[in-house]
Amino acid sequence: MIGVRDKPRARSLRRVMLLGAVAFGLLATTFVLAFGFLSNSIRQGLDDSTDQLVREERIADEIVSSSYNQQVVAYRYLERPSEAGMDEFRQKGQQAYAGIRQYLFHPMPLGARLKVEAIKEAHEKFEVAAQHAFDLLQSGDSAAARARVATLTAPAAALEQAVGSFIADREQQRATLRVQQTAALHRLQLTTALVALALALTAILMAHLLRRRVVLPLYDLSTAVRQLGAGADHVPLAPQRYEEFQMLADSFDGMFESIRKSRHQVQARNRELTRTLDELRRTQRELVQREKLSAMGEMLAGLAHELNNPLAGILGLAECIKMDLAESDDPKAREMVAIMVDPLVAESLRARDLVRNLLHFARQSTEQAEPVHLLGAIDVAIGLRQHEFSLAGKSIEIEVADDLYVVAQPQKLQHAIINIANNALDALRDGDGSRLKIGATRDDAAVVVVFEDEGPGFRQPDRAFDPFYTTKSVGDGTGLGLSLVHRFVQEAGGSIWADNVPGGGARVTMQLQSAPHTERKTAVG
Amino acid sequence: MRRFSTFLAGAILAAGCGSPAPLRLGIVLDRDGERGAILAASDINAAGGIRGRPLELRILRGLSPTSAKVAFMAADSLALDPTILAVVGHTNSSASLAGAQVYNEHHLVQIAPTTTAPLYSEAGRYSFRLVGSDTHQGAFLARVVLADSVHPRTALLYVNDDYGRGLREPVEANLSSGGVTPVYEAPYSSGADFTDIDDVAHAIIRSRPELLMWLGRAPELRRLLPALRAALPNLRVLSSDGFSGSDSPPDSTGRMIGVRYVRFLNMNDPTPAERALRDRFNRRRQRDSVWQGGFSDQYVMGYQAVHLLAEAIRDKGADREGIRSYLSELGSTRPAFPGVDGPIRFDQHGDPEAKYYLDEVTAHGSKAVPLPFLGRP
Repeated sequence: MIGVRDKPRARSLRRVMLLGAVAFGLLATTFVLAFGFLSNSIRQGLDDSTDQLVREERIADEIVSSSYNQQVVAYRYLERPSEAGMDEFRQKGQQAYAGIRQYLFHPMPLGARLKVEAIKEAHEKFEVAAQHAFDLLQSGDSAAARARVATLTAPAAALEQAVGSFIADREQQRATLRVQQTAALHRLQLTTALVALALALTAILMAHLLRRRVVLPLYDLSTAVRQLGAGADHVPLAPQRYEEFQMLADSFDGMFESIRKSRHQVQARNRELTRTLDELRRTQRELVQREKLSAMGEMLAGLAHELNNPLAGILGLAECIKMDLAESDDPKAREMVAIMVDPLVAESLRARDLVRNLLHFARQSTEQAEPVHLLGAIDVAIGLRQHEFSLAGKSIEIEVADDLYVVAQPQKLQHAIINIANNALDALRDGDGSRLKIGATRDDAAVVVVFEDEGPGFRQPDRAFDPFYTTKSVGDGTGLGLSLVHRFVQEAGGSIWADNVPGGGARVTMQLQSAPHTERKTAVG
Repeated sequence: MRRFSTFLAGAILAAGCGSPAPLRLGIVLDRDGERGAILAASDINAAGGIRGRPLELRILRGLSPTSAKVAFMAADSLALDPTILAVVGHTNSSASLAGAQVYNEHHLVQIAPTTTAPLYSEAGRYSFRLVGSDTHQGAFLARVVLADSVHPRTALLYVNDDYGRGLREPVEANLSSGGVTPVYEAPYSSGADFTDIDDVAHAIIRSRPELLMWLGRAPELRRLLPALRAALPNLRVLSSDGFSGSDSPPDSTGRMIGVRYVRFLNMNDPTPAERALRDRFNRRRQRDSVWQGGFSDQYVMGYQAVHLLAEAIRDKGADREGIRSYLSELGSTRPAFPGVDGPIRFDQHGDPEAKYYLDEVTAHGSKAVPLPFLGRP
């Protein structure tokens, strides 16, 4: 889960996107305006220069026209002098001069101004020369006048040349200007391309940023949700740059935590239910077992009472027969004792024991449960069977702490341990195993005692505690040993179950109530 | 060909190492105007300069009376010099008009002290002058002619340039409105181009004028006048202000005696400042034989143009635009400048109040001619 205190301060995506949009808009607007301004400026420059040239050419036309007209008027006056002709001559001169004066404060470079001055000077000289010719004509000196007229062509030509030179110069300047403006246009086009490229790159950058800062975080969040749905317990979410995403991540984080807690609660409850179900099943089995044993106990009790008396009579008579025959001198009689009576007595005793066991099984215990030192009880019980194990080449390994006490009937506890040990010894004899291992541990308010042998294991662990269920040969077992153990444990308020060790061998687990540590009692019967 | 002979007026300031940077003015005037400018700068620097900085003149000598072509070059040189704060010049109308185009393009103030061409009023915001437009002089000259009870037969000769053509128009218009039509009217070329002197003289003589109105300069008139005087001994000559330029050498032959010409200074009743300045001029002329000629309008106008610009710099600092602003405010938002010949103020065209007087050449110099409309056109 992401700690809020460690998160860097997130920025508002809405604000960032707004700022980005505004910046992009401003950039684009600036570009459009700049482009418009520049193109308009260049176009205006072209228009202005064209207009200026047109005006200048118009002025030049006016000057040239006036000058030519003035020359024509001058020649005409020289042919036919008249006052009107003189006025016209001066009028044309004034027109030409007025045209020249229009250039005076026209914006133009120094070279052009010098050419305008050349026009003006040429015109002034032409006028003076013409006036002198007029004067000569007025004086009646026609020859001199004609000679003077011939000289008029020089200032007229100078004037024409000056105007032509000026126009050529201005056209040259305009051509230069056009070249400059064309270059400016090319620069503008290049600038436009560069700015367009810059805008495109900006758009790409913004798209990249959008992907990196918006799309990918959203993808990460959706991935986290999918992982959560798939059962992930914790999906770390990186700190988000923008507060909207951070809020979303926080919400997801909170949701993850809530789901995780709920899941853990469900799992815990599930385990509890499973355990409860197991206990119910075990209780059910025990109840069934108890009912089964109870019914069988009642039947056996009656049966045992009915068998006990005949058996006592048989055993008494057999022992009487044995005593009579044993005292007989007849060797055949004594041989009869050995062959027939002794087996009869033995089988009768065995039948009597069986009946007693049946009575034990059927009889409700009246012994009071009390704290029993577990290791002491095990030592006593195993001490009784140690010799049998040794004769069979088997061993018993005890790993029980000295401080374990259980609530049980001491005699029955020892008897139960002996029965389990006997059962294990019989199993060990059938197989290759050689060891019975007895261990005990404390589990809260209970003590769990585990018996594990290295025999072939139970064929049907569920039926191990059924009365008269045995897998031994006929005559080797009654099938009541473990049933008695089961009854004892139940009476002690504990539980018992049987299963097989995964590596081989049978295992009987006995769970008894743990008793407080009291003065040590020896489990000697 | 480089006709520029540029030198800095060493007499203005002995600018030693570590001294404050000088304030510089460009000068493109004729001989008399240049002398007046130098005297003014000398006075200013002797009084401590302008804000503690010396005033220095960059004088382009010998270019003032030349053609507009050369004036362009001179103006270009001054306008491109960032240390030049203003220009006093030029004298010739054509040159002043040519220079005005350059100065206005570079936002450099130009005071053309004695330029009279009407067209100069349209030269631009940076062009000023200290004398009236020829529009007024033309009227003044016409009134002089028309003042005679019997209108004289008048021949009109004008120099065929900006000055002569600009002046001819108002003269002719005012004469015409007074009922006088010139019996002869012709342009002439100035300087070396004035070659057909006899033809011109014959043309004038044939028209038998009683009065020759000369709208030009003195050198050509000096060459023309002997032939006219020989044929027309009673011919009176009335000249425009161009006659009084410093290009006019002393008339040792006496052939110019009787010529009346327009002046901008009232020699009959000078102001105290004018008189003091003339006394200083005369003392200097007595001391220095090089100082020839009379106490001319150009001398006074050059002198007071430099003083006027110095005051503008003192008020606005070393700033071209500030100087223009100062001059345009004179007489409107600030008092008129106390000039030698009276208060100086400018209209929106940079023109001052027009004042004209008439002098007559005598054997000993000149004398003022009394007029019934003295001082006002």
